[in-house]
Amino acid sequence: MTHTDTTEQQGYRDAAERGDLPLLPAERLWGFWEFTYANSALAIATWAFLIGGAVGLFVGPREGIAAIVIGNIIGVILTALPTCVPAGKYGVEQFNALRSQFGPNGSRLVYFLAVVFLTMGWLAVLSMMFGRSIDGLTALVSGGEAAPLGPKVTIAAIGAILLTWFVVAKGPTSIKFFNMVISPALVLLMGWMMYLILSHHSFGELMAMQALAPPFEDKTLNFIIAVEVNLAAGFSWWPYIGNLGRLTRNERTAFWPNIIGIFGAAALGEVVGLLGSVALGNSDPTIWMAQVGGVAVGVIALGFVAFANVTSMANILYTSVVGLRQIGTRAIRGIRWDMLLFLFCVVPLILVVFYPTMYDGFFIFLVWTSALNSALAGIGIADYFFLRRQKLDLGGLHGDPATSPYRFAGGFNPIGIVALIVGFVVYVAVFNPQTLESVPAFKYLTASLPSCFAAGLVHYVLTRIFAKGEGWGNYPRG
Amino acid sequence: MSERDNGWSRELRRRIKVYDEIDAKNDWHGQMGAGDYWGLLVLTVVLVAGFSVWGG
Repeated sequence: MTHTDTTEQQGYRDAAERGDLPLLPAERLWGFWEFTYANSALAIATWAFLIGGAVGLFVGPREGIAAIVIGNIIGVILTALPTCVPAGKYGVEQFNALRSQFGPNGSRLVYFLAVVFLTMGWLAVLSMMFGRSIDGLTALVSGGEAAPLGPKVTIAAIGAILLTWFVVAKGPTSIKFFNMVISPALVLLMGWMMYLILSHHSFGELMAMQALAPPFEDKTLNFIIAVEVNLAAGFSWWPYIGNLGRLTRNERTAFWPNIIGIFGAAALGEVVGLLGSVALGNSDPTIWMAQVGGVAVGVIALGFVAFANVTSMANILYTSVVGLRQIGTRAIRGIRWDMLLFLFCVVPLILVVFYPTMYDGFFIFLVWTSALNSALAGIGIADYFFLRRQKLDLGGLHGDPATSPYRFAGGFNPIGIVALIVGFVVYVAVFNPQTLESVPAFKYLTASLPSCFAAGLVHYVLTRIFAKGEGWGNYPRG
Repeated sequence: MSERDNGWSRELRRRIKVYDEIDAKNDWHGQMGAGDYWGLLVLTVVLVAGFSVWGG
């Protein structure tokens, strides 16, 4: 083989890693435990403390732990099935695979709705958490009062976004280094926090504690809202895990580690966040961590949480902007890497300055994302498992969109889009995340599950009736 | 079509052929089977029912 051939082959392997081509089984290096570690590292992040704290607003620790387990296991499974199983089979990039459900332009639309908005929201929330950690830390050292909505928090949050931009602009090597250090250290921090909480309260005392601010007198309704928050947390992995799953060797290796990594690790972090918030009387981890073990412990914990937030922000910013370049138009791909990153950070910067209270109601934002992600999961399951019987046309996914069997109408599959809208509408009709108002069925069904089911059913039925002819998805017949 | 495009198409066809051959032989290693889906269902039911009784 000549040098040119070797360079060319390496170029194709790089392109496959980036998602431009399907990865071959021999190129996929992650086994069961490698993938388990990778998605545990993704799941063990500071947002787990936030979600656990939010659960503590609605229910006490016993109901909260139940809600965390129930919501996350259902959400993670329904998310991993349509994303990781096809990725593990074909090594195909998630948003390329999505062309089979929404068309090439529809896939771009979904990327903007599901990834860009979600990531921008999380960047804003985590930067505010960084700001509050720094504010709490300086208040502890100086003996003053923390001011969660003060200018110091805003300035520190802006600094966190700019620092993240700087780290990611430098490239992925620095992010990988932070991940190797931060994830195990966060596990230690969780263990330490759990020890401190249990050293002040027995397990029985903790389980008997009440919710911090239950919105309704009806305990069942509060419990189901807590389940819904956790379903939203489980579904919120939809934009990310398919592209990790494609690096694994086969379907099983792409699917099962999510149960240990994403479900187990996220649930552990949330339980610590829940117990800390309820035991210390505040859902904000930057407040209760300052109180859990005195000044020295508070300073170390808050300093570490601030640092860990930047790592989480760097991870999601990097992943999202890499994906944006993959699915973006030629004009987007033409923008310089550091400039594109900065443009991505503009909306989070605006949110930090003009909407700082978003942090305290972040679960509202999280639950809104489930209105979309649960519908996407339902459509994915209906399309890949029931309509396509687990077969994708790789040529159609990666070839010329103009002649692809997945071109649909102008690059959009109207059936998929209608199903997505139906899923979203069903969600909001059953449960309004903004006001927490719900219909009676919500107490028995949640909102994510009807949304997931309705979107999948509409996609299945309309496809069976209308998706016929060349370019309309090449669905198997008979 | 440029030389680069030709090379790209060749590479794409090569990769598709690998998967076509696996499919023709039905040689999908580590494929999720009925046991996996039943296991998944049982795990979900046990966790949901168990924690509903314990804490719900």
